[in-house]
Amino acid sequence: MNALPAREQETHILLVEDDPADARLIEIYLEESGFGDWAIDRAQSIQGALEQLTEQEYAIVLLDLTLPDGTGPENIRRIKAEFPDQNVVVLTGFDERVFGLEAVQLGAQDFLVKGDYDENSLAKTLRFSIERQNFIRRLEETQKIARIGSWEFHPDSGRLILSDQVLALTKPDDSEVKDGLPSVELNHLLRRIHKIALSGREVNLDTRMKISGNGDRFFHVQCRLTRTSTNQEIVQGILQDVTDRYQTEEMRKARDLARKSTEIREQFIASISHEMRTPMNAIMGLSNVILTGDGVQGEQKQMVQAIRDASDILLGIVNDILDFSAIQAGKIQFREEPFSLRSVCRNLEQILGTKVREKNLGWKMHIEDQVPDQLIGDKLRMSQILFNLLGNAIKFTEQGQVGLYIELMERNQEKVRLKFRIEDTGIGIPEEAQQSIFEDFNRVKYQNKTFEGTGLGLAITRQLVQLQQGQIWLESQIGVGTTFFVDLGFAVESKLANGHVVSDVIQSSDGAFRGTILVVEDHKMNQLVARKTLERQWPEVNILMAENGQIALEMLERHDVDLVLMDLQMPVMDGYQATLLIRRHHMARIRQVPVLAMTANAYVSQDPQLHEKGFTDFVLKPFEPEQLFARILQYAPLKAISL
Amino acid sequence: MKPMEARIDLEYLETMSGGDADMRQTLLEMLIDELPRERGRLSDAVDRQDIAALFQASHSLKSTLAYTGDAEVIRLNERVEESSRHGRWPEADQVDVQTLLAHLDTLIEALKALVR
Repeated sequence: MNALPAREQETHILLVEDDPADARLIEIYLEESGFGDWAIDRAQSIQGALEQLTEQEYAIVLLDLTLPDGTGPENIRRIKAEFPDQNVVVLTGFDERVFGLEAVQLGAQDFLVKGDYDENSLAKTLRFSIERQNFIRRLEETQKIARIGSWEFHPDSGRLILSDQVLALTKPDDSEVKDGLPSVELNHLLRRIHKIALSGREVNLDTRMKISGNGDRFFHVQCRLTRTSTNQEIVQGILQDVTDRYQTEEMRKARDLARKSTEIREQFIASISHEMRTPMNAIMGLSNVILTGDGVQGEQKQMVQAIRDASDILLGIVNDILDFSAIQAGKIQFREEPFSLRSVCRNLEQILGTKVREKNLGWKMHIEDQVPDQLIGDKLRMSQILFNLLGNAIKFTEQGQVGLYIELMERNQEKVRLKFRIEDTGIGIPEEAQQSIFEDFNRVKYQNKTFEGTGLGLAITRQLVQLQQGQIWLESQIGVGTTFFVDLGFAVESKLANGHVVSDVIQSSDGAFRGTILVVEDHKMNQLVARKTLERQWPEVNILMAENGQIALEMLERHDVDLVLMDLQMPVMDGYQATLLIRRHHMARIRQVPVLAMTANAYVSQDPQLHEKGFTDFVLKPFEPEQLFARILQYAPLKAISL
Repeated sequence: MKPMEARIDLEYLETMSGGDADMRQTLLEMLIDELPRERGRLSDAVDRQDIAALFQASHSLKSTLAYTGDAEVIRLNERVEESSRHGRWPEADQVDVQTLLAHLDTLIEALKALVR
């Protein structure tokens, strides 16, 4: 069975006609015309029509112009005054056809002359009026969305027709919109631009207009002179509210300016800081020269020492400022690299040990056994956080001890969360200062004494912790001491990039090693020490020795090597070049061999060349045997047999 | 210039010997053997005004000096190494190579006395 076509929506028509015969004729025509589904209501006066329209919506009002309570164009004016969007088609007598034209000018969609239309032209007029009305509605909707209004100005009659949107955009509230009159400000604007348009020029401008109660708005206005089909001159224009776009643009400009000035400030700070480093190095260097010579003694020596210590502090400040400006500029990036937690802590212990001993303080470091050693994260930043907090602890402690404790909080397959506790028995931080201590440039005062520094250290530390999604807080009691807590997460990986399985057992140096290690070192004593140290630890290890990078490459081709210990400075071919050639070697076995740099340079971790040339990691010289063993087991794990 | 005193500290050498007396002896002998040779390379470099050679010499000396434990000489040599690494004569950084050479002489004598 064929489905019936969907029933069209009923068209509600309000027929405003006091003559029953005319009314009946309309109904007959409509029935015969095949107009579709329609329902017709009838009113016999303007007043009746207005009441009906208040109660119900009509798609069309068919309006007779001769009614008991009104005649002529006045009728359409009255309907439109109350229902400006209403679709109205006017019915006029043959003698009154001139009224029809006028009605259309007043807003009627069309007119029908009685006795001059049949069922077809009636249906066509009604259908077109509905379509036109819908089209106008859609156009208005579009204008509303785009915040565009349009207008027409007839210079002959001085008539101005403003679309609803023009009024809505330029007037503060709806009640005034209804009167159809332009605001004073709009009137001024139109007068000004119509003059230009009438002189034959096109208007295309952005302007600001005051909307009472709504501040200033920004408009884009365009208008030009054109001619109607009856060859009348009219000015047609559009007006668009571009306040949002304008403000966005203004904001963008302000933001660009702010960004630019921040950049300039950053550059300034960075360059000043760099410039400061050079003379400071001279001050520190010269003080060192004086101190190492025998020229100064006693009080003078102390004074020079004070100069050196002061410049040391100054250098710390410069570094703080550089870090701080990097954080402010959002330029801090965190690396994701494997590192050994315990060796980082041991390094810190070494660096801070001098100060601890100088002040005769006790030192305690404890890392819980279940804390994994091999973590993935930014070891430099972690060191910096701990260095700052431990440095403070030492600075503010005159007697007693300073300690670093690390506990495991959480662990799953991919991540661990560690709690670092930095404890001192120092002066303590007053409760009222505990809140603000992490703020920029905040410095603790104690017994009216201000301690040296920028007051940036803790601010930087907190930022470094928070930027890594960590937390930092403190507990403190005056005269008893302070404990800082840092809660930080790290990734852990059960597999290294080369696919070797590394377990925590192998991270400690308590493992046997049965493999071949190539030591590339030109220094005879270091060669001997490296060989003896390794052989003593692992009797089954096989040591190969090369005096420079060139020989190392040749040996790698001849022997199966599990790990290379590579000195950096060597004659013939240095360690950088050799490692680069290893990484570019045609034999995969050689390309993939772990290469540990051996260096006496304490700042090696900042050496970009290590990464660029393809070193796997580094060990510091003079060797810390435990560290050396742990690193070897870490990177050549297949040859390790846990005990 | 006042005569200098060598401050030998064999702690590192002892650690690296791992309690092995032979190893300790070997290292000491190597030290006495190496130090004059490296001192010679250093003074050659100064005589020839060869800054690259000066860097090589002081770099190599660094490892050797580590076994002597003489902090003052180690520091002085490090400063020579730092300057020459950057292509500067140590004097430009107020470091006197002659002082280092004199220190080395004293150190060598002290080491020889130690094994005698």
